[in-house]
Amino acid sequence: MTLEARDITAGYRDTPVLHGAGVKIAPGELVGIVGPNGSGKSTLLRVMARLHKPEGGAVLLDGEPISKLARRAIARKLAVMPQHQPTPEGLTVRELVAFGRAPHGRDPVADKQAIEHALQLADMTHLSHRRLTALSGGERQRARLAMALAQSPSLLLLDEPIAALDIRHQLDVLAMLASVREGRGIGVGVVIHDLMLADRYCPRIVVLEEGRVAADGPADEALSPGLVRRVFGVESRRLRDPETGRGVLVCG
Amino acid sequence: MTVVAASNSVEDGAGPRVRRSVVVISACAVLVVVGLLLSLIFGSVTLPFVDVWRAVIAPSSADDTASQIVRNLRLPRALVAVFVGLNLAVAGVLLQGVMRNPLAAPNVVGITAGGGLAATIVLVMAPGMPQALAPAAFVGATIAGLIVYGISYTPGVGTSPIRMVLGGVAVTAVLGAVTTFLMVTYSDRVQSVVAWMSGSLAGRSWGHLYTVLPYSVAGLIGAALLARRMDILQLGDDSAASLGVPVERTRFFGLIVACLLAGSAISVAGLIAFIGLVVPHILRMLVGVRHAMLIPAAALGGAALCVFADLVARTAMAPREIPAGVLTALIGGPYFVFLLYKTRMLR
Repeated sequence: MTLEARDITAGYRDTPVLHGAGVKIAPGELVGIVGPNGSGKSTLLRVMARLHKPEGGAVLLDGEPISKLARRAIARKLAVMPQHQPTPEGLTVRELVAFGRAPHGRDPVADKQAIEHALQLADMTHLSHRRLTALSGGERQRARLAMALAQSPSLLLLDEPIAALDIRHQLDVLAMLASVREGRGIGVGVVIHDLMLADRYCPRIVVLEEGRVAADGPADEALSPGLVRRVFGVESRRLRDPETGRGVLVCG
Repeated sequence: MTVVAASNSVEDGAGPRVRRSVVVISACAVLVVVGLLLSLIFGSVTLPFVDVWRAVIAPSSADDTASQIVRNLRLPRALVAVFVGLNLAVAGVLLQGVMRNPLAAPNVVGITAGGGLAATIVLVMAPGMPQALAPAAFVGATIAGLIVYGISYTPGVGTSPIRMVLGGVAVTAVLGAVTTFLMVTYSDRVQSVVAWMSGSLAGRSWGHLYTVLPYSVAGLIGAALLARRMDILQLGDDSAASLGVPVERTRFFGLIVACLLAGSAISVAGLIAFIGLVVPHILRMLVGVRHAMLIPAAALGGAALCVFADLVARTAMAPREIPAGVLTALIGGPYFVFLLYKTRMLR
């Protein structure tokens, strides 16, 4: 499935945020959405997830406007991991993940299979009977990722999934996204604050600047020193990792 | 929908919790029955159990004073208490569920104050029309609920739970002020208002039961339909929407059903405070967050609390009656403070 946001204008009350931004996520693509604070990353993601109504433009799921699709029909194809959601008290990991099956019809066998598989992918099987409130921040994010995966989506959108995590959990979550994309051919769109991690894990990067797309392409092209300087106001260069031979973005 | 939620939790390996929920629900049901029986036995005269039993089981053969007392006075009053308690507790579950706020309850979001003002208007301006009291209180409660909903709703963004509670505080303050103004202005007729506002079940009869019963049935059906969606709503608005739940529609429908339940309860029993707050919390601790279990548990728990409160109210200081609302407020007030203290999101 392909998800495309076309020429989106959107905002909150009197504050316009997006001015004609657009992005297209094809199957099996991992797209990192970066930009300075207030550039509209989260708003763009929310518009694409149909959590925020745009004033102009269209979001198309395989060419069909999502504003015309039923909420549940979208939820069967598109899973979202929003930012800042409450942690309900008393729920176990497995119960949370089971909610991922809500948009689907009732089929106990398929449900169980999807739940098990999602727990496995997120490496949460051993914690599945723990209560959410007893987990660390990183484990909680992985549990929420497992819920999104239990939806059996064709597309996955994540709003700053690694913002509050320590470096190990950041790498864990990003590695999971990469393997989900490769293993299942899911298209992934992820808002990331950390430029260097985005560069390292996302083959394609979309840079937002004041509500417009400033660059869109392979990481090493999109995050050129000139663009990083203009958009983020910092110096950057690309070094070669002597171990892997890969280019590494270094800022500051 | 409720069946789905229940069977899911079995698959989730939450079997023990389901069993415990069933035990808790059964215990609440037993409490209701015991409360009803005690209410029939005790009063200005204590009736032997046999007489009570005969009056309930074989009404036609019993024509003595004892069965008159049971059938015309104590039974309808106790049943009104059952359904008033049920309505208030389920309304509390709905409000807390759709607003995702532990402090939401009929008296917090303005529903109670709306019912109170409407009833006061009837009592002081049309004292000869007691039959208008119930519909007026219900309409007032619903209007107040809708006003609070309107205050907390931002187009394009949705309803914020915190705005809803703050809106409820503001609306309650204004409605309370108007109520007080009316009471001062019509001070000669204030006696009936005070009696009604304190939340008493004195003299409630079959007519009151038939007023509240249809709302209880409709409200329970509405709550059952919302159970699964409210479960998902606990994950947050964005998460729920991404799982296909129409968030605003669910919240609006939940609010309307809560108004139905609480408004009808207020209209027959006046302002009985805090059942809608305390009961859902206690039962959530016992049966967990699944609404398929929480709704029946809270319904029966609320009914039990209200029956026992009324029983104590009319027997503790006999022949004087303490309004049941005074008792529930004495229990509920401190509990509310305890909740405020415990609630992390408002600390």
